[in-house]
Amino acid sequence: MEFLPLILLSGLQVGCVYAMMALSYFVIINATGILNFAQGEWMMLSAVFGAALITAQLPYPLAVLCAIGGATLVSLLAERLVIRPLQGRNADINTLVVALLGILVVVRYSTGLIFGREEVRLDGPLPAEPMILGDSLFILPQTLFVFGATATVFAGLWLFLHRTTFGRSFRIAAIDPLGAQIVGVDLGRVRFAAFAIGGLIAAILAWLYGPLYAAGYLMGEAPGVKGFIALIIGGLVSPLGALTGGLLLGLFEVATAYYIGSLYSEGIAFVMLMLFLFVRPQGLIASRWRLG
Amino acid sequence: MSTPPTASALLDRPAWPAKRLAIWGAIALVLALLPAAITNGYYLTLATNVAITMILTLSLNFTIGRIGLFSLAHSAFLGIGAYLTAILAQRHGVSPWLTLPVAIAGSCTAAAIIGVPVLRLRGMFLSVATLAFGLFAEVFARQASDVTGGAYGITGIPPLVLFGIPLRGTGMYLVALTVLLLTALILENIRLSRFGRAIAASRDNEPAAAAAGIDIARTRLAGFILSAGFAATAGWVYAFFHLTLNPYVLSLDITFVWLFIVLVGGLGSMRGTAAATVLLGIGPELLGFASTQQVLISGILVLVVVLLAPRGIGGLIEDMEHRIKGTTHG
Amino acid sequence: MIRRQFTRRVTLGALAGSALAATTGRVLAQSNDPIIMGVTFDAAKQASYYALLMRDATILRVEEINAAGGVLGRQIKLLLEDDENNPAIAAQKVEKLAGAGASFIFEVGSSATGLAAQRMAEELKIPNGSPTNVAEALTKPHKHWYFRLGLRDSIATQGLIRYLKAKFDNPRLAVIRDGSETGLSLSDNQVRFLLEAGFNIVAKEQISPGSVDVTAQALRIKASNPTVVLVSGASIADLSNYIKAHTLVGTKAPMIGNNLFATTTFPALAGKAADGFMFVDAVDMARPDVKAVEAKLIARYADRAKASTQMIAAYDMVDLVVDAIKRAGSADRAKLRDALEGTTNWHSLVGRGGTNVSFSPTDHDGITSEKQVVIRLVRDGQYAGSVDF
Repeated sequence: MEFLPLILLSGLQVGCVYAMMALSYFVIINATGILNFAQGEWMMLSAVFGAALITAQLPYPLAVLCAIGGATLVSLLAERLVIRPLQGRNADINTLVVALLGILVVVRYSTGLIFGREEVRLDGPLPAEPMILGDSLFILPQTLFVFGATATVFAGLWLFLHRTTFGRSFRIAAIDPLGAQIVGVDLGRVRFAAFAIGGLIAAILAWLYGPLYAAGYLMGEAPGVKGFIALIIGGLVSPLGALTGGLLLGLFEVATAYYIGSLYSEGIAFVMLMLFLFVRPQGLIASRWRLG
Repeated sequence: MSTPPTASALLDRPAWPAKRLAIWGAIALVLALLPAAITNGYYLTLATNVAITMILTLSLNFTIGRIGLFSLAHSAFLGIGAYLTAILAQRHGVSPWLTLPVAIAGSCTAAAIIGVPVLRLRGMFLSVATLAFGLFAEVFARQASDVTGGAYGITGIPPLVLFGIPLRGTGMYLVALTVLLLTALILENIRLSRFGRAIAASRDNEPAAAAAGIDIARTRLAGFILSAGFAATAGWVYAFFHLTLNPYVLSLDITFVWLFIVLVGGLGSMRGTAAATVLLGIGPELLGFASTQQVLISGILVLVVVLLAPRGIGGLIEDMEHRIKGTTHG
Repeated sequence: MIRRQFTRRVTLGALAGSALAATTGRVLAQSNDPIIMGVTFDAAKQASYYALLMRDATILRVEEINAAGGVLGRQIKLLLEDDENNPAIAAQKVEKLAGAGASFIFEVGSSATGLAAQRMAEELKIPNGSPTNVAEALTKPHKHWYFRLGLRDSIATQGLIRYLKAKFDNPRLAVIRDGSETGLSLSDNQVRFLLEAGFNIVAKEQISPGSVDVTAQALRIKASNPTVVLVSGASIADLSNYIKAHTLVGTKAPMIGNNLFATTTFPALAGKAADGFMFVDAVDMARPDVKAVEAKLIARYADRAKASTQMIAAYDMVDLVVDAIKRAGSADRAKLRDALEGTTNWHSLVGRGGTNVSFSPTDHDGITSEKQVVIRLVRDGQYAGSVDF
């Protein structure tokens, strides 16, 4: 019991990382119906760019901004150079997904070639000293940053989707693409913006997760997978689904590792996913979402 | 009247024209005689690898391109087949040939069990579900050391023996080739059969198919199970070819390569898939950078194909054929 | 002269069939045939962060030897093959190198690929070996064609045991590992040896790959009240996460890791938490002869080579093989194998305080005593020599 707050903090921290990853998937799936497996790689690029820029003595804030910008740019390039032509000729969804997987592989392994194979340290924006809050409680400034950034990004996205005109067209495009076009929504612009926002969220995530883990060319794989597991568990209807799914998955993983043991925690997320898909595929936060 | 996907359905197809039989026969003969021309053991190994991979890519092409199921669980079915084979042959001394039906039965059972809930899902949910199963299989293979030998896997698998001769090198190449030709034959037969048409209809136009009395769910499940059977057979060959087995065979990277091969070949095209498998299997060797990055190369290729030649190699072959025959696309 | 080896045109389509054993690569305009050696390594995957370094060290040593006139008047040609961290491919590459005429194959990837490569080399009867792979099965049971320069699992654990017995009285041991192949098999073996030696294992935890937070594992280990925590695996970022959490939750027990912590990014990655971290290794960086080689490696490869014991071992292994070739008077595989087996008191860079490597028909391990195990220390973000005990 004495460590319950610490475990909760840990679970929430893990959950926020998963939630952010899930959110970056959500934006794109919601607006375009495309499951972009490559999201984890935008996060990786942001981290690896950032680490390289910091090593090159760029001032930290500038390095962060350039890294986030660079990674988002790559997401946009992917949309422009690959997705747009494919959608233009009405390629089926399988082709799109495989193209994105191709991008994932190319980005991941060429980054390894260019930036090297080592996992290097990535500094967070706040000092590293933990804050002691009690006998059995401490919190890292980075953890606070994770919570704060996650809340900000989710709030920001919600505001965008519900309070801006363009954001509303996003939501309309998600519910009924044909109808949206009829009322004048430019699906191409929506898709472009979706990749921009999704890429941006993943790029920002690099600075939440990277300082907790490391920056390396393979870092996109694990959170990438957990991210869409979280999204499916939570539900694809709204950002709330991404948040719920992420936090739940994070808390569940940490709780089982603590109370039961960590020897089998790697497979737990997949089992959970399969259970949800078989029992409640629409996720926890669902409404009239079509299955596919 | 629903279409039972039975064996009779497999046989219910137009007879093969003589010309076609001749072509297939010739190809089979040439491939069978290949070992006589290759003196370097390594190239024979490569050829066997290509053959085994082709069993997998042809069946994956069938699943994704023909049935319309974007399944990422293919590696899991390969793994189940391979591990069952290895465990029975190495640990329990089961006769190698007997492990084949067990491997197939095991994978097909698994496919049936997860197929029922998974195939109810649509689109991306289906791919995610199959991906989860595939990833789980890899984790299981790596961690359940009592069952699977854990990270270092199972070594010292006894070789296949035929008439008292252990099959290595050329022998295993011929085994792999035989399985490959049978796979191609069966898949081609299905394509032309009533079952195949039911599958195509279920993929292309569900309402019409249902109206025609096709039981879509059963048709898709049958196709899924069949595909798993092929993967299991490939696993069986793999186990007796390498004589060791470990969790790497279940890794996501390898699934990606198969996926890319299928796309580069052209979704749904058997010839294209075959060509792409050969290309990616020996291309890097010929070009001189066998030293590195098969995954990266196949990723680049898939992007090139998807953007510039979306119907893949199969499409290019078709175009060439039409040009030669002077016909237009049907 | 070294040529980075690219296979060329021998195509399957050559039904006209060349009868040559596929000697790949460009033909050297030399009067003496070069001695061909192969290197299998992971170029891009999870083991590449150390495999590439070891490949580079091998390349450097071969270049130096060639510049000084080669071996027996012949230049060494090094063929490099990527095993993609996949055991099946590793075995195939050995087959390829065999076909290309290699007299010896250095396996500098992971233990898993090393095991597969070795099996193929045994079958094809090619001398081969690894400078640093620790998997016990590589030499026990005995392999006729395989030679290991560095530590093996049981010796590493015995070295660890020697340290534990010297410093602690009946210590309670906690074990944490990552999910990698290396982490799982290494720690399973380690636990087995420790239990056999009568030690008390009070906790066993695991880190999922790409871990965000390992507080749960750290708390569980703390709750088991360990005297020492053993940290094993191949994913340094995941293990560093534990090391940081261990310190944060206030576990007082010191941590001891496996030999893969000898990677230059580790001290920075784990930060202050790594202060006092120890790990088992095979090379004593304080030795002057080792330092001299380190300087050469740094001159060529810059900071990547700093304190890299793996590179030292790879470098040294080239010398071991070259010495055997000289004694054999030829690069013939069987003769080379016999000469290697007959190595007696060969001064090696590995081993604590110095190791004279001697092989025998029943023992192909370079390090044979737990006294030769080095326990290295990290202090103030640097590798700070080894612990004396």
